[in-house]
Amino acid sequence: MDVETVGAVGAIAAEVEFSIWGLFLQADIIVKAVMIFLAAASIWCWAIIFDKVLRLRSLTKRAGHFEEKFWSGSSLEELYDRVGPRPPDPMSSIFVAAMREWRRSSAKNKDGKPDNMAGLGQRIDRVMRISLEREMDHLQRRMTFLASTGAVAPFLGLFGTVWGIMNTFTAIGLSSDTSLATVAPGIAEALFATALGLVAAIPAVIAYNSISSDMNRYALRLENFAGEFGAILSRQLEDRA
Amino acid sequence: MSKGLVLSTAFHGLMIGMAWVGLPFTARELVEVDTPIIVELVAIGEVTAAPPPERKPEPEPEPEPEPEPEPEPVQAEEAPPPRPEEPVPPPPPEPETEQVAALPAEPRVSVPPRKPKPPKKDSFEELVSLVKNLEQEVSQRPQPETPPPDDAEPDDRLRTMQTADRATLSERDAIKSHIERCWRIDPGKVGIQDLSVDLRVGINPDGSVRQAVIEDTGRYFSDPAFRTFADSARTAVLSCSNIPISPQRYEIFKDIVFTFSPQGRIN
Repeated sequence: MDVETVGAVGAIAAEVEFSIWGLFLQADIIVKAVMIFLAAASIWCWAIIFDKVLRLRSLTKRAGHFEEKFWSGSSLEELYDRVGPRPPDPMSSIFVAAMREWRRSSAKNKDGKPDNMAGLGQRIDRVMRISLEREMDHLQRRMTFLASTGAVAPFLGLFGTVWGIMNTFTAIGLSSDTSLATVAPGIAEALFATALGLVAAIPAVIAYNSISSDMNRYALRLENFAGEFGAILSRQLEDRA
Repeated sequence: MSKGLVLSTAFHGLMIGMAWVGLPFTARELVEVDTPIIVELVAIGEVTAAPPPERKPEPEPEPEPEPEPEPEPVQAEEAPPPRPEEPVPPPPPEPETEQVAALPAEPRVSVPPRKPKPPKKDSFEELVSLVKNLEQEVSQRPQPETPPPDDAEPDDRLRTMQTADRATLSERDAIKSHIERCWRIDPGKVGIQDLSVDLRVGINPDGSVRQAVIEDTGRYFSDPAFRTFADSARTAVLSCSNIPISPQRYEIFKDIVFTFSPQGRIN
């Protein structure tokens, strides 16, 4: 008798597999699709997270180096020549855009007509703002995917769970057996979808908040730099005039 | 972006690998579920083995007061078989073995006169005489039987109550051997070795039999040989009294199904 009992327990345990792969294979086709989508979303989210974090870290480091060079007292022309036409980071590209405009206008009117000065200042400001916006836009690309994953993934997981539990209850109705052994696999498999949704959503929300606040700080730093640089250039314009 | 994608894939692979290795928490729970089952079964086994030797003295003192030749061979057949089944008789056997050794000698003398008898009689006459014998026996039996349990049993019963508060096979064995003694079969009947009947026996708290119902009623009404056989078994059970049933376990044993068959007697 004990042999029979142990055998029966073993049979039940073998029948229902609670590993991740087993839960996935037992699931309904729709629940499977939800799970696959959520797994892909999680992978893509983490790809974006790694990418943005690494990029921001290197950008802040480069911005630090550039500001150091900029405030070191060397001449702006020298710095512009050293950076070259293809700047590696947003701050230097703002600097390059402003300097290019400055050089172009100063090359055009060597005689230095005073009525052009105010126009030159405005143009430099505009060029710097456009460059800053382009750089920030490039930097913030794909951040919306993090935000929408954080908002939608739990709902999607919940949808998978509800669908799975609907299937389970249908199975209960068909077999007219309400023992926990019939109910448990379906519910475990259905809850796995919610778990995946939360696994995808929680890091996405946390990362979105922290990365976007970091980006705001970086954008503020760029704006400050552009404002200071614009002030320096306009002072030089006045000196020249 | 490709660097981030590679990192992310590696990260997910790592997480899934950790879950794969670390997830046997669920499997461990399953294992815990079936261990208590095993422990329970072992407990029953121990209890089954222990009490029978203490109960055995009951049947053995009886043959001496009873002068009838017929019941004795029955006990001689039945007394030896239980012995090998029980693995734990070390303390009591010393006094008992003498009695057991003495017992087989008596029945052997009485067997020869008994066997030739049945073929001479008609089966119906014989049945009537069987029933009469049973009635006599039953009227005689209770008096010698009741005193020994009172004298000897209290200690034993207390001990069994301590070792197990669950249903034990030994108690069933005691009831079985008691009912067996009430029942005499006609060994000369044609095909009797193939017959067996299931009886649902209801027992009253005072040890008397409340009812004995034949389970296979279809065969009872269609097969006359089976009917006589089943009736003899039923009469035997109904005529039994003072079945050793403890009031504490009355709920467990108030309703038992016994199988009567001439080969294994009662199972």
